[in-house]
Amino acid sequence: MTEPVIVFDSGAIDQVVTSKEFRAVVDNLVRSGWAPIIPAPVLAEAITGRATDAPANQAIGRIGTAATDEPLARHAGALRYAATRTAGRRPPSGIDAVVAAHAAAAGAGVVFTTDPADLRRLLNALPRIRVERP
Amino acid sequence: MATQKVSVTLEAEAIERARHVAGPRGLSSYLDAALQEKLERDERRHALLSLLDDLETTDPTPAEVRDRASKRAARLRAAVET
Repeated sequence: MTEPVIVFDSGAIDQVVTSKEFRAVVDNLVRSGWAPIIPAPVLAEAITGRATDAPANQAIGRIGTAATDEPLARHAGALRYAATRTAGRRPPSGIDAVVAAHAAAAGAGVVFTTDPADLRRLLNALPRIRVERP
Repeated sequence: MATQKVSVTLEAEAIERARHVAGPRGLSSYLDAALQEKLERDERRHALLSLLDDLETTDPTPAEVRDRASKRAARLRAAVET
C-alpha cells in the first residue's frame, strides 16, 4: 500500500494558491506524508490559456501532473460504468472517472473537487477515499 | 541508463511477494520501478511544500484559520488512515 494521496480535481488546483485555509489543510496533509496528484487530463477543465490561469499554473508547476496510462484509463471506464449502474443516472464525465481512478489506485486519500456529487458516486465502494470540497 | 549494484536489507516476506509478482521482468526491474515511483511522489511533495512555504512567507495564514485547517486535516487522517 502506498501512502494516502491528495487528488486535485480541476476546481481545486488554483485554490492551493488562492485559499489560505485550503492551503493550510494541504500543507498539513503533505507534511504528514500524503502525496499530491494532479491527473493530467484535469488540465482540460482547469486551464483556459488566459492570464487567470496563473494560480493554477503555479500549483501545477510544483506538483507536476500524473500520466494516465492504459490500465488506469481502463479502471476509470469500469468505475464509470459501475457508477452508472448503481446510481441509475447519467454517467459521470470521463475526466471525473480518471480522477477517481487515480485515487482508487492509491487505495486511500482524499479527492478535492468543487463538484463532489459525481466523484462520490464513482468512489462509493471505497470507504478509505474521501471526496470533499476544497 | 547507468545502473549500480547495491546491497540493501529488506523484509523477507516483501521480497518473496515482489519476486512472485515481478515475473519475467525480474526483481531488480520491479524494485527499480517502485523506487522511481516513490522518488517521484516525494519530489512532488517537497516541491509543493516549497511553494506553500513561499506563499506563507509573503501572505501568512492567521492562527485561527490554521487551527481550523489542522482540525480538518486530522479528521481526514482519522477517516482514511484506519
